Amino acid sequence: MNSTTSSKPPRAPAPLLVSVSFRPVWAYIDGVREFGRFFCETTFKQPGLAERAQVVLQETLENAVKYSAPDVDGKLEVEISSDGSELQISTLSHADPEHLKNLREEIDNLRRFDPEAALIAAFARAAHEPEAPARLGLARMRYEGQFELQVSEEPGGNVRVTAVGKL
Amino acid sequence: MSALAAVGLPRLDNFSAQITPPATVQFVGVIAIPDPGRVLSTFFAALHRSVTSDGLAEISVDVRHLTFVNSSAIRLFVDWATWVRNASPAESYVIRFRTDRRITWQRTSFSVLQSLAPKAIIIDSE
Repeated sequence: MNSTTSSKPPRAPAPLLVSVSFRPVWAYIDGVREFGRFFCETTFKQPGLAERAQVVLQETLENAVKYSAPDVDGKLEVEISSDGSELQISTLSHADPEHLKNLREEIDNLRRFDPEAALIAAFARAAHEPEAPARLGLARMRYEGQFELQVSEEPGGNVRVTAVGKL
Repeated sequence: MSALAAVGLPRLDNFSAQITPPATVQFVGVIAIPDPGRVLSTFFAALHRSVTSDGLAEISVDVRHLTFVNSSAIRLFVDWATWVRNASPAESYVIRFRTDRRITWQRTSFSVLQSLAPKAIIIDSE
Protein backbone atom coordinates (compact mmCIF):
# COMPACT_ATOMS: atom_id res chain seq x y z
CA MET A 1 0.00 0.00 0.00
CA ASN A 2 1.26 3.42 -0.84
CA SER A 3 1.74 6.09 1.75
CA THR A 4 1.06 9.57 0.49
CA THR A 5 3.27 12.10 2.17
CA SER A 6 2.13 15.33 0.61
CA SER A 7 -0.99 17.15 1.71
CA LYS A 8 -3.08 16.13 -1.27
CA PRO A 9 -4.65 12.70 -1.77
CA PRO A 10 -3.03 10.39 -4.34
CA ARG A 11 -4.28 10.70 -7.88
CA ALA A 12 -5.86 7.87 -9.76
CA PRO A 13 -3.34 6.31 -12.13
CA ALA A 14 -3.76 7.24 -15.77
CA PRO A 15 -3.18 4.65 -18.51
CA LEU A 16 0.53 3.95 -18.84
CA LEU A 17 2.08 4.96 -22.16
CA VAL A 18 5.81 4.62 -21.53
CA SER A 19 7.97 3.12 -18.82
CA VAL A 20 11.75 3.39 -18.72
CA SER A 21 14.07 1.97 -16.07
CA PHE A 22 17.73 2.80 -15.72
CA ARG A 23 20.54 3.05 -13.21
CA PRO A 24 20.24 6.35 -11.34
CA VAL A 25 23.34 7.98 -12.72
CA TRP A 26 23.61 11.43 -14.25
CA ALA A 27 25.01 10.22 -17.56
CA TYR A 28 21.62 8.82 -18.60
CA ILE A 29 19.52 11.89 -17.82
CA ASP A 30 20.08 13.65 -21.14
CA GLY A 31 19.06 10.59 -23.14
CA VAL A 32 15.94 9.83 -21.11
CA ARG A 33 14.88 13.49 -21.08
CA GLU A 34 15.24 13.80 -24.82
CA PHE A 35 13.43 10.52 -25.40
CA GLY A 36 10.55 11.77 -23.24
CA ARG A 37 10.48 15.11 -25.03
CA PHE A 38 10.43 13.39 -28.42
CA PHE A 39 7.74 10.97 -27.27
CA CYS A 40 5.51 13.82 -26.11
CA GLU A 41 6.18 15.81 -29.27
CA THR A 42 5.14 12.96 -31.54
CA THR A 43 2.31 11.58 -29.40
CA PHE A 44 0.56 14.78 -28.39
CA LYS A 45 0.01 17.68 -30.73
CA GLN A 46 -0.46 20.39 -28.12
CA PRO A 47 2.00 23.24 -28.79
CA GLY A 48 4.62 23.52 -26.09
CA LEU A 49 3.74 20.31 -24.32
CA ALA A 50 7.01 18.58 -25.23
CA GLU A 51 9.03 21.46 -23.81
CA ARG A 52 6.94 21.48 -20.65
CA ALA A 53 7.53 17.75 -20.28
CA GLN A 54 11.24 18.27 -20.93
CA VAL A 55 11.52 20.60 -17.95
CA VAL A 56 9.66 18.20 -15.68
CA LEU A 57 11.75 15.24 -16.82
CA GLN A 58 15.03 17.09 -16.29
CA GLU A 59 14.18 18.34 -12.83
CA THR A 60 12.56 15.14 -11.52
CA LEU A 61 15.34 12.95 -12.91
CA GLU A 62 18.01 15.23 -11.45
CA ASN A 63 16.35 15.08 -8.06
CA ALA A 64 15.97 11.32 -8.23
CA VAL A 65 19.62 10.84 -9.18
CA LYS A 66 20.95 13.33 -6.64
CA TYR A 67 19.00 11.85 -3.76
CA SER A 68 19.04 8.18 -4.62
CA ALA A 69 20.19 6.06 -1.72
CA PRO A 70 23.73 4.79 -2.31
CA ASP A 71 22.74 1.36 -3.57
CA VAL A 72 24.69 -0.40 -6.31
CA ASP A 73 21.54 -2.21 -7.42
CA GLY A 74 19.47 0.98 -7.45
CA LYS A 75 16.98 1.59 -10.21
CA LEU A 76 15.18 4.69 -11.38
CA GLU A 77 11.85 4.21 -13.13
CA VAL A 78 10.17 6.88 -15.23
CA GLU A 79 6.60 6.55 -16.39
CA ILE A 80 4.60 8.72 -18.75
CA SER A 81 0.85 8.23 -18.54
CA SER A 82 -2.20 10.00 -19.87
CA ASP A 83 -5.96 9.72 -19.68
CA GLY A 84 -6.42 12.02 -22.65
CA SER A 85 -6.93 15.17 -20.64
CA GLU A 86 -3.88 15.16 -18.38
CA LEU A 87 -0.29 14.04 -18.67
CA GLN A 88 1.39 12.34 -15.73
CA ILE A 89 5.15 12.00 -15.45
CA SER A 90 6.36 10.03 -12.46
CA THR A 91 9.69 8.86 -11.16
CA LEU A 92 10.21 6.04 -8.69
CA SER A 93 13.53 5.63 -6.94
CA HIS A 94 15.07 4.33 -3.76
CA ALA A 95 15.68 7.60 -1.99
CA ASP A 96 17.36 8.87 1.10
CA PRO A 97 14.56 9.17 3.77
CA GLU A 98 15.67 12.69 4.61
CA HIS A 99 15.05 13.66 0.99
CA LEU A 100 11.44 12.49 1.21
CA LYS A 101 10.82 14.73 4.21
CA ASN A 102 12.46 17.74 2.58
CA LEU A 103 10.67 17.19 -0.69
CA ARG A 104 7.28 16.95 0.99
CA GLU A 105 7.90 20.17 2.89
CA GLU A 106 9.07 22.01 -0.17
CA ILE A 107 6.10 20.93 -2.28
CA ASP A 108 3.68 21.89 0.48
CA ASN A 109 5.38 25.29 0.76
CA LEU A 110 5.15 25.84 -2.98
CA ARG A 111 1.44 25.13 -2.99
CA ARG A 112 0.83 28.14 -0.79
CA PHE A 113 1.66 30.38 -3.74
CA ASP A 114 0.50 30.53 -7.31
CA PRO A 115 3.15 29.13 -9.67
CA GLU A 116 4.49 32.49 -10.86
CA ALA A 117 4.72 33.93 -7.34
CA ALA A 118 6.45 30.78 -6.16
CA LEU A 119 9.07 31.02 -8.90
CA ILE A 120 9.65 34.72 -8.22
CA ALA A 121 10.10 33.86 -4.54
CA ALA A 122 12.52 31.06 -5.45
CA PHE A 123 14.58 33.43 -7.63
CA ALA A 124 14.63 36.01 -4.83
CA ARG A 125 15.70 33.38 -2.32
CA ALA A 126 18.50 32.24 -4.64
CA ALA A 127 19.62 35.85 -5.05
CA HIS A 128 19.73 36.41 -1.31
CA GLU A 129 21.47 33.12 -0.54
CA PRO A 130 24.23 32.88 -3.14
CA GLU A 131 26.04 30.07 -1.33
CA ALA A 132 22.96 27.92 -0.74
CA PRO A 133 21.57 25.38 -3.21
CA ALA A 134 19.35 27.09 -5.75
CA ARG A 135 16.24 24.90 -5.21
CA LEU A 136 14.59 26.41 -8.26
CA GLY A 137 13.59 23.14 -9.87
CA LEU A 138 10.27 22.42 -8.18
CA ALA A 139 9.03 25.98 -8.65
CA ARG A 140 10.15 25.87 -12.26
CA MET A 141 8.16 22.68 -12.90
CA ARG A 142 5.01 24.38 -11.68
CA TYR A 143 5.39 27.67 -13.55
CA GLU A 144 7.32 26.77 -16.66
CA GLY A 145 6.05 23.21 -16.94
CA GLN A 146 2.53 23.95 -15.69
CA PHE A 147 2.60 20.70 -13.73
CA GLU A 148 1.47 20.13 -10.16
CA LEU A 149 3.57 17.86 -7.98
CA GLN A 150 2.89 15.11 -5.53
CA VAL A 151 5.23 12.87 -3.61
CA SER A 152 4.40 9.51 -2.04
CA GLU A 153 6.26 6.78 -0.23
CA GLU A 154 6.08 3.30 -1.64
CA PRO A 155 7.19 -0.08 -0.28
CA GLY A 156 10.88 -0.82 -0.03
CA GLY A 157 11.94 2.72 0.78
CA ASN A 158 10.95 3.97 -2.64
CA VAL A 159 9.75 7.49 -3.33
CA ARG A 160 7.44 8.34 -6.19
CA VAL A 161 7.26 11.89 -7.47
CA THR A 162 4.30 12.47 -9.75
CA ALA A 163 3.86 15.56 -11.88
CA VAL A 164 0.46 16.16 -13.43
CA GLY A 165 -0.25 18.68 -16.14
CA LYS A 166 -3.09 19.45 -18.48
CA LEU A 167 -2.74 18.42 -22.07
CA MET B 1 42.46 44.70 -25.94
CA SER B 2 39.30 45.08 -23.92
CA ALA B 3 38.88 43.09 -20.73
CA LEU B 4 35.81 41.43 -22.22
CA ALA B 5 37.77 40.20 -25.22
CA ALA B 6 40.33 38.66 -22.88
CA VAL B 7 37.83 36.55 -20.93
CA GLY B 8 38.64 32.87 -21.26
CA LEU B 9 35.88 30.79 -22.79
CA PRO B 10 34.56 27.70 -21.02
CA ARG B 11 35.02 24.26 -22.52
CA LEU B 12 31.93 22.12 -22.11
CA ASP B 13 30.21 19.41 -24.08
CA ASN B 14 27.02 20.72 -25.67
CA PHE B 15 27.64 24.34 -24.70
CA SER B 16 29.75 27.11 -26.14
CA ALA B 17 30.16 30.82 -25.63
CA GLN B 18 31.40 33.44 -28.03
CA ILE B 19 32.47 36.97 -27.21
CA THR B 20 32.27 39.69 -29.83
CA PRO B 21 33.83 42.96 -28.65
CA PRO B 22 33.02 45.51 -27.66
CA ALA B 23 29.92 44.29 -25.81
CA THR B 24 28.28 41.12 -27.10
CA VAL B 25 28.25 37.58 -25.75
CA GLN B 26 26.46 34.62 -27.32
CA PHE B 27 25.61 31.34 -25.62
CA VAL B 28 24.81 28.28 -27.70
CA GLY B 29 23.72 24.75 -26.83
CA VAL B 30 22.43 23.11 -23.67
CA ILE B 31 23.49 23.38 -20.03
CA ALA B 32 22.27 20.33 -18.12
CA ILE B 33 25.33 19.15 -16.26
CA PRO B 34 25.28 18.25 -12.54
CA ASP B 35 26.87 21.37 -11.13
CA PRO B 36 27.15 24.06 -13.80
CA GLY B 37 28.25 26.61 -11.23
CA ARG B 38 31.43 24.65 -10.63
CA VAL B 39 32.57 25.10 -14.22
CA LEU B 40 30.74 28.24 -15.32
CA SER B 41 30.49 30.59 -12.33
CA THR B 42 34.08 31.72 -12.88
CA PHE B 43 33.23 32.56 -16.48
CA PHE B 44 30.10 34.51 -15.53
CA ALA B 45 32.03 36.38 -12.83
CA ALA B 46 34.75 37.21 -15.37
CA LEU B 47 32.13 38.59 -17.75
CA HIS B 48 30.76 40.81 -14.99
CA ARG B 49 34.20 42.06 -13.96
CA SER B 50 35.23 42.73 -17.54
CA VAL B 51 32.11 44.77 -18.29
CA THR B 52 32.78 46.99 -15.29
CA SER B 53 36.48 47.14 -16.08
CA ASP B 54 35.77 48.21 -19.65
CA GLY B 55 33.30 50.80 -18.37
CA LEU B 56 30.53 49.50 -20.62
CA ALA B 57 27.05 50.90 -20.15
CA GLU B 58 25.46 47.78 -21.59
CA ILE B 59 26.28 44.22 -22.60
CA SER B 60 24.19 42.22 -25.05
CA VAL B 61 23.78 38.57 -24.14
CA ASP B 62 22.33 36.48 -26.94
CA VAL B 63 20.76 33.31 -25.53
CA ARG B 64 18.46 32.55 -28.47
CA HIS B 65 20.41 29.41 -29.27
CA LEU B 66 20.75 28.25 -25.69
CA THR B 67 17.92 25.81 -26.14
CA PHE B 68 17.68 24.21 -22.72
CA VAL B 69 19.14 24.65 -19.24
CA ASN B 70 18.55 22.99 -15.91
CA SER B 71 17.58 25.00 -12.86
CA SER B 72 21.15 24.96 -11.55
CA ALA B 73 22.19 26.78 -14.70
CA ILE B 74 19.45 29.36 -14.23
CA ARG B 75 21.17 30.09 -10.94
CA LEU B 76 24.11 31.47 -12.94
CA PHE B 77 21.83 34.12 -14.46
CA VAL B 78 20.33 34.87 -11.05
CA ASP B 79 23.82 35.46 -9.66
CA TRP B 80 24.73 37.75 -12.55
CA ALA B 81 21.54 39.75 -12.11
CA THR B 82 22.32 40.09 -8.42
CA TRP B 83 25.85 41.35 -9.06
CA VAL B 84 24.54 43.99 -11.46
CA ARG B 85 21.74 44.99 -9.13
CA ASN B 86 24.22 45.44 -6.28
CA ALA B 87 26.87 47.23 -8.33
CA SER B 88 27.87 50.72 -7.27
CA PRO B 89 26.63 53.56 -9.50
CA ALA B 90 30.10 53.89 -11.00
CA GLU B 91 30.09 50.22 -12.02
CA SER B 92 26.45 49.82 -12.95
CA TYR B 93 25.49 48.61 -16.39
CA VAL B 94 22.59 47.02 -18.21
CA ILE B 95 22.37 43.42 -19.41
CA ARG B 96 20.30 43.17 -22.56
CA PHE B 97 19.24 39.56 -23.05
CA ARG B 98 18.23 38.59 -26.57
CA THR B 99 15.76 35.74 -26.18
CA ASP B 100 13.55 33.58 -28.37
CA ARG B 101 9.95 33.71 -27.20
CA ARG B 102 9.28 30.30 -28.78
CA ILE B 103 11.62 28.66 -26.28
CA THR B 104 9.68 28.06 -23.10
CA TRP B 105 12.48 28.31 -20.54
CA GLN B 106 13.59 31.64 -21.98
CA ARG B 107 10.09 33.09 -22.06
CA THR B 108 9.41 32.22 -18.44
CA SER B 109 12.79 32.51 -16.74
CA PHE B 110 13.97 35.83 -18.11
CA SER B 111 10.77 37.65 -17.27
CA VAL B 112 11.13 36.46 -13.69
CA LEU B 113 14.83 37.30 -13.73
CA GLN B 114 13.99 40.83 -14.76
CA SER B 115 11.93 41.22 -11.60
CA LEU B 116 15.15 40.86 -9.59
CA ALA B 117 16.83 43.83 -11.26
CA PRO B 118 14.28 45.75 -13.35
CA LYS B 119 16.59 48.68 -13.99
CA ALA B 120 19.56 46.54 -14.94
CA ILE B 121 17.98 43.90 -17.16
CA ILE B 122 16.31 44.41 -20.52
CA ILE B 123 14.71 41.56 -22.42
CA ASP B 124 14.58 41.69 -26.21
CA SER B 125 12.28 38.86 -27.18
CA GLU B 126 12.21 37.81 -30.82
